[in-house]
Amino acid sequence: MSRFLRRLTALAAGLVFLCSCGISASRSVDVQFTAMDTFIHLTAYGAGASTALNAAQQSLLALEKQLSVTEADSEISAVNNADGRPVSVSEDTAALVDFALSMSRRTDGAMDPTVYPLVRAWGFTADEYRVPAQMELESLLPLVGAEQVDLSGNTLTLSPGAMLDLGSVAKGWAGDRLADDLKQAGVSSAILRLGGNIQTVGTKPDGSDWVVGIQDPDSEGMLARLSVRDCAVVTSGGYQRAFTENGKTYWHIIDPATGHPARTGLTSVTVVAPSGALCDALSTALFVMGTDRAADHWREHRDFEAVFVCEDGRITITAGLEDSFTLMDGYTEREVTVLR
Amino acid sequence: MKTKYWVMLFAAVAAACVTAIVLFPLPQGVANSAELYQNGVLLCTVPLDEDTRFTVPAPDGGSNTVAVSGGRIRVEQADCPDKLCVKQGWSRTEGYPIVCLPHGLVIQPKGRQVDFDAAAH
Repeated sequence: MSRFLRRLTALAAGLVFLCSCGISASRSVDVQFTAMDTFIHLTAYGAGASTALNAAQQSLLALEKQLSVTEADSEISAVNNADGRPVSVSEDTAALVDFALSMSRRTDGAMDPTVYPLVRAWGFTADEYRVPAQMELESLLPLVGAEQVDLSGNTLTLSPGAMLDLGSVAKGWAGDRLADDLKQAGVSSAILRLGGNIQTVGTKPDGSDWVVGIQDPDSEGMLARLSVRDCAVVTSGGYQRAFTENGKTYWHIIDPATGHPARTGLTSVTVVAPSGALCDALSTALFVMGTDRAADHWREHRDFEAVFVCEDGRITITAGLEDSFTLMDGYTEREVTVLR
Repeated sequence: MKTKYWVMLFAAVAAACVTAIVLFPLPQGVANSAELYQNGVLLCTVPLDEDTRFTVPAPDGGSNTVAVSGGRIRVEQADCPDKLCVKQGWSRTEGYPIVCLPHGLVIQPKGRQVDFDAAAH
């Protein structure tokens, strides 16, 4: 073999190797299924992505079984039906309840895992919407509050009549879990869509940021985009589930303090932070708080960033998003205030 | 002569790179079609550049009426209990699927080019 041919063969082999590395690193694997009452779409890149995503799917379905408030044989249902008796739960459930309670305390109850009786009274749990009488709401309010829950190790006790619903933290928490599992499996580039809860692992395969759209609460379009990496993006909005009666719109985000849908002038809150569970809990809590209290909360903690969209269309973002937040075409005239 | 071989080799490598870029494009831009799945099985792919309306029968005997208009797609009517698919409204973004859980229907806008990797909603 001539010297040239040997060189050529070596070069070709090198190229094939490099190309196969490049292709396997940038090729995506997608898994789509329904769980936690929503559509799940997981995308991961690189070698081992397929195995890791299949494991993630199984892990999520198992978590759903433990945490669902609607599945009769879930641990949460067992606690809700125990009529005040202590129930032994798994470590996962205990950890999530502990987190939800800590977020309730951190937000002065603006997000509360015991708000379920109120949400049910408004018909949002069965999609049989109704406006409950004030007396009915007042009779339910004493059942709501972190003090209704006693967690001691893995033993969970709920006051009789109180109900636990981890819906405001479960998807975010599951996103964290899946992201950790994928990282441990060697995946360094993935985007997990749990309904509208987004969790990113690392960056895109080319090293650039993931681009996450923020929905316009008043239309089907995207209001803005955020460039993010290795973090979660979660939105809570009144538009997500609502009904109109006698010309008045009632949405599913209930203020645990009043029993009524939270009307603070906001139509959506998007929270960005490394932890999906924190984003999930805070997006609800900040929506209930309203912009001013939410801004104080941000200044006090500084462990998250947020985008607030007001009913009048004004937008407020926290300082940490200044470089990653971009209004989409058609929205560039919107007034954007930066919190500092 | 040797130089000529190296030039040819360089051209071949460049051609291979261009082919790779065409075959594996990076996502950017807007969806131009939508894939319809029922219980995870791909039913059909619908182009979004042609206004149309059609009915997708569900395994339980119900149905969803899907409409395409102005480059967007939505579920116009459905006989599912919650009608959340109808309430989701229009979509034209790859990261923003329309879902009817009771009928197992997922409408996934697709395109060689998309604006977003995902949509927070």
